[in-house]
Amino acid sequence: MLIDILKNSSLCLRCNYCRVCPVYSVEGWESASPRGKLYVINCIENGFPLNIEIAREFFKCTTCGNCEVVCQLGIPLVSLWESFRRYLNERGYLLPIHRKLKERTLKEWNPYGESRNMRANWLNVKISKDSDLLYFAGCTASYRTVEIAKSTVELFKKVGLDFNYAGVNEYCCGSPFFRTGQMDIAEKLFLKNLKIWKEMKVKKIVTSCAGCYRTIAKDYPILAEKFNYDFDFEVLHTVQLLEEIVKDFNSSKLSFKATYHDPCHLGRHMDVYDEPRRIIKKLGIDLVEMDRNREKAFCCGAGGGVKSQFKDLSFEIGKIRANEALKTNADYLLSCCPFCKLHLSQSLSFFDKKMIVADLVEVVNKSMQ
Amino acid sequence: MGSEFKREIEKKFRRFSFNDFQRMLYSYDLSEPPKILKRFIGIADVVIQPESKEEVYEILKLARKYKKHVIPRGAATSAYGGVLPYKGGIVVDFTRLNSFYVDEDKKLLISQAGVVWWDAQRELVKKGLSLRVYPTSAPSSTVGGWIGQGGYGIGSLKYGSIANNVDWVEVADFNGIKIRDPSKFVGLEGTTGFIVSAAIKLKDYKEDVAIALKADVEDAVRFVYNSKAHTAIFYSKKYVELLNSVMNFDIDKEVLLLAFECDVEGDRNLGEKLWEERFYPFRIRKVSNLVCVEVILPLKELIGFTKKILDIPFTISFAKQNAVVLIFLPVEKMSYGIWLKVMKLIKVAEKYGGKVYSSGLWFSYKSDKIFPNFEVLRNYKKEVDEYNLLNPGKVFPIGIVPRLIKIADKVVRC
Repeated sequence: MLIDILKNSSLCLRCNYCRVCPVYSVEGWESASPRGKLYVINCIENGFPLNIEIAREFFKCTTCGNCEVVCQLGIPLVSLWESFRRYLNERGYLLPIHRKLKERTLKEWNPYGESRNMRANWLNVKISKDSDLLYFAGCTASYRTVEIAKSTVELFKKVGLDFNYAGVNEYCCGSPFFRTGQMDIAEKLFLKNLKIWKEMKVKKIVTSCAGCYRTIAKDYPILAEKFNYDFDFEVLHTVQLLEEIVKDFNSSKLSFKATYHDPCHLGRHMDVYDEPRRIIKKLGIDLVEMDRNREKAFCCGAGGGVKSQFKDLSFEIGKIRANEALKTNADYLLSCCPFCKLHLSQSLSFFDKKMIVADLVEVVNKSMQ
Repeated sequence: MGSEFKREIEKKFRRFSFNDFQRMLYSYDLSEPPKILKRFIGIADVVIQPESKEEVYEILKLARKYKKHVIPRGAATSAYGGVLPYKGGIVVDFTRLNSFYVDEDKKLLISQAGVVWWDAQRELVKKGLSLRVYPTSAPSSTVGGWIGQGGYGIGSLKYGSIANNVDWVEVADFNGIKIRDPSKFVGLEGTTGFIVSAAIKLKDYKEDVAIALKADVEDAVRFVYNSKAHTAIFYSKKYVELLNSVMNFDIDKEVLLLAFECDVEGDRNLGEKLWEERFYPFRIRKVSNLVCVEVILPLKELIGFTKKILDIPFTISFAKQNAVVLIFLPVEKMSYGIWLKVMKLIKVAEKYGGKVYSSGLWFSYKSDKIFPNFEVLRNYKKEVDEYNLLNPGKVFPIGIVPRLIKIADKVVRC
């Protein structure tokens, strides 16, 4: 595995354009920079001893992919970081909280350790068992930002969109484990979800979470090929459905000012930038972009296992992004990811100035009262 | 390492590292020396990130007290070995000295050494101002780094080198911190004092208008100096071929990029594409492993020199009175043989009246050719740094590395 990783890491020019990394922006040491990490991988290959301290640095990465966008040579850095994390895991360098996430998930099928039986407690509408459209709420919207899941299904009902939902048989998509290189549990979760979806005769999957969307749309097909399963689902993020909904139904015009945070796993990972902006425009919202937006958007700081293992770091990153949002003087900070919403709301709590953080689905749902 | 030295650092500074792993990470730059030279390059004893100019001065006092070498480091985006801790010592990472303000009346950017050029430019544009020159590594390189290295960049055709665009520098040496004339510091790589801040000349912001022209080198020289462009970059046929395959461009022959501060007629479409690429000259390494050589040529010899390298990818960045030729040597693997090829090319350039772009560590033995006032600089260095602690081995050659390279240089024939 290291040989494959090295093929890419040795390409690095060391131009340091990857200084845009949110972790490096906060920590300021070469060890935290993508360039530094690539240098270390080459040194390890040349005999520099690997130890837990070095391993920890490699887990300080939100997998936001900003480094990949600016890389002159287009090195596929996100997959490189994930591969190296797999390499570290295989050598026993799993960090304690990441291990705990795995243990919790094996017990309750969500990394929060919440009761599996309570997963569908947020659901307040009737689902259509016959529909081949599956709503995949994901762990964060099921347990932490339930208003997003509730708004989504309410909106589906309002516009007459039939959907099915796996309830307590919805398992974590495995995103935290793909991102932290814990492939054993990631594969297990893939197999469990796949089995249920096949039983439910699902054809189309809609997710609320940017992380779930990336995982199911991008990582699952690779595992399906590995395990020799068909993966013939159409996978969408809710924002891709919202555009159709907003186009076809009359919604009241909204008159507030908002800024939009591109979730890394929706934007850079999946190239979804225009849909949310078109929806915001259609709703009549005055969109004020932050200085860093679209493919250059700064990460919220929560992803890639950083929030769980390196809480302070994650909030330092979150505060930078929250401050960028506050500088726009917008009333609302909109996004399309429960994990981003949760983290940015918490990060904003460090400031006196306030703004409302909402998922775009909540706004669309409200506009269709 | 002395425990007293360590204790003093722990007591005086907030951001430092004695960690093996971190020290290793502050002991490289863009260059890839062959093994025979690499073995003579040291590792930082400690890395300190000063957060104020006073801390820089504290580091210098400490260096003198313990007779430690002290090496300034910006973004380390150069390939001349200028930031390598040749014989160990204290590596001073300037990236935390990153604040700046704009004197709008005098049109000056007053910037600490660790400010990244493009971060400053973004803020300047908001005020209707702009840098007159900036390096092609502007998205990551620092103000202090480029001044310390010297050289040309975007805008140099109209506004000259960075030396022509620095009003003053604030320098820390063993005697304190003072505002100085830049002449004894630009291109000197911190060997005569550490730049802690600088005043950079600005212009009113005008949107750049870039056009592309099909032109060979002869045409290019003619067009460039009859135009009012602020920037002119020529891309050779071989370079264009690589660029086409990396960027899916469809350029059929060598091309000249001209950028103006006013509206002009020309191929704006290709011009804008190439303008966007100005920060990415190395992107062509995606398709071919390449080593870069940079030489400065007098204009009258430029055509003759480039005829010698027609089968190699190269670009020419035109400055007021000379041109920087960036040559990309295709390589299989980095080796001593490649270094000999690099030196051969430099020798060819020298035959045409040219010189290597910068000194650093690797070409310190050529400093007398790079700096016309080298003796004056050497005397100044002796005056301010009697123990040769300020970035030793850079610009002013010492030790085995420049000797070995000089021997190899003598062996090479053009």
